[in-house]
Amino acid sequence: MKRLDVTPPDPASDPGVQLMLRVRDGDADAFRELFEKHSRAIVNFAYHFVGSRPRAEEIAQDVFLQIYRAAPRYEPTAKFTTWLYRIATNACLNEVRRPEHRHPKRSLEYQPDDERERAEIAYADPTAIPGDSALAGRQLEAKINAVLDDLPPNQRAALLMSRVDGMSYLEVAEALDTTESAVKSLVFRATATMRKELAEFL
Amino acid sequence: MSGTCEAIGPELVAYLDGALADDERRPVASHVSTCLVCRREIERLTTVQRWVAELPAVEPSRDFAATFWERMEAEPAVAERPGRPSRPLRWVVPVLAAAAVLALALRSMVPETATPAPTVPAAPRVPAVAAAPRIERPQIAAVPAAKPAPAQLANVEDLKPEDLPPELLDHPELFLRLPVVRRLETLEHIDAVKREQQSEDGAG
Repeated sequence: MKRLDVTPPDPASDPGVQLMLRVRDGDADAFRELFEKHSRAIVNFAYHFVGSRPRAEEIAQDVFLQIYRAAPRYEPTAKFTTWLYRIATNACLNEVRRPEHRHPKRSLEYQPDDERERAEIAYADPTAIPGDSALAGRQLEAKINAVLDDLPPNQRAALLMSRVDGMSYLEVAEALDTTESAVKSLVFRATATMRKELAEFL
Repeated sequence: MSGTCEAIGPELVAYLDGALADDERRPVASHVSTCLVCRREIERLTTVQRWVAELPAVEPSRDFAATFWERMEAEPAVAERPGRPSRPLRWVVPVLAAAAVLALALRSMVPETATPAPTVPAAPRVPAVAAAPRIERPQIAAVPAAKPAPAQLANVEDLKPEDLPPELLDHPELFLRLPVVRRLETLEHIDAVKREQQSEDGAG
C-alpha cells in the first residue's frame, strides 16, 4: 500500500496540544479541560476493548494519571488525541494480557453489570440497528460485542479507533506505532471477521 | 466471483474508508462499477461498519470523575514536582555538569610539577558523576586565575590538537570553546604525549 498523500496536521495547531502545553507549564485548569473533553471517549474505547465498565473506568483514570505525570516531559510530536489513544491502547493491551483478566466473553445473553449501568447506557440511535424488535437489536449488539471480544487485540484496537472513534488510518498507525499499510490490513481482517460472524443478521 | 473480485476483496474496506491512493483506487472503482457481486459485498461491509460505529456508547458512572479527582489529590502539582527545572534553564544542568567533569578530568591530567595546585580548599575526592549535579563552580573559576592565557591560544578553535600547547590545560574556559569531538581528540593527544614523556623519564 502506498502512502496516501495526506500531510499530517501540524501538532502545534492542535487544540489538545495547546492545552497539554499549558498543563506542562503547571496550568491545572487546562488539565481539567482535557479530562472533561476526552475522558468519556476513553471510557467508551476501553469499555469496548475490555468488556467491563468498572475496568474501563479504572483504565481511563490510569490513562489521565499517566498523562498528568508525563506532563513535565511532554513534547508535541503528534495530535493530542493520537498520543492519548496510544496510551489508552497500551493500557487496554496490558489489561487483556494480564493472566487474571477475566475475559468477559460477552455473549448473546450479555447484560450490563447492573441495572444502573443498563439505565445509563445511551444508545446512539436505537433505530439504526435493524431488526423486527428491540430484542433483535440487543441480540445484534451482544453478538457484535462477542465478536469484538474474540478479535486479536491489535485488530480490535484498529477497528475501534477507525470505526467508533473516527480516526484516520494514519492516526491509528501513529497510535499503534505501526504503518498505515499494517492498519489497512488490521481493519480489513477485523471487518472481514465481523462480516462473516454477523452474516445471519445481514 | 471472478479472480478480479478475489484480488480486489481485501481492498474493499480501505476503498470504503477512502484510504487508497489514487492509483490503487481507480482499478477498484472501475471493477466495482461493473461487478454486481462486489457491489453487494460493499453493501454488506458498509452495514457491518455502520453497526460497529453505532455501538451504544457507555457513559461513565456518576462517581467516575469524582473518584478520579480524589486520586489526583495525591499527585503533586506539575509546577511543584521536585527537581523539575524551569524550561528555559533545562540545558544548564547537563552543560555545567559536563563542564565540571571536564575540569576535574583536566586537573587530574596536569603533572603536579608542571602547575601548582590551585588554592582551592581541599575537597573530598568523590566520583565525578556524583559531583556533577552539585556543580563545582568555584573550582572551575579558580583554575584559569593562575596566569593569563598565552597569546597563541587566542584562536584556539583554529589550532590542531597536536599544536595545542600544554598551557591549554590551565585554561579550561578556552578548552571549552572547542567542539566536543576536538576536545576528545586533544585529550587523547595530550594523554599520548604524557605517556611518551613518562616512558622517556622511566628509560632515562
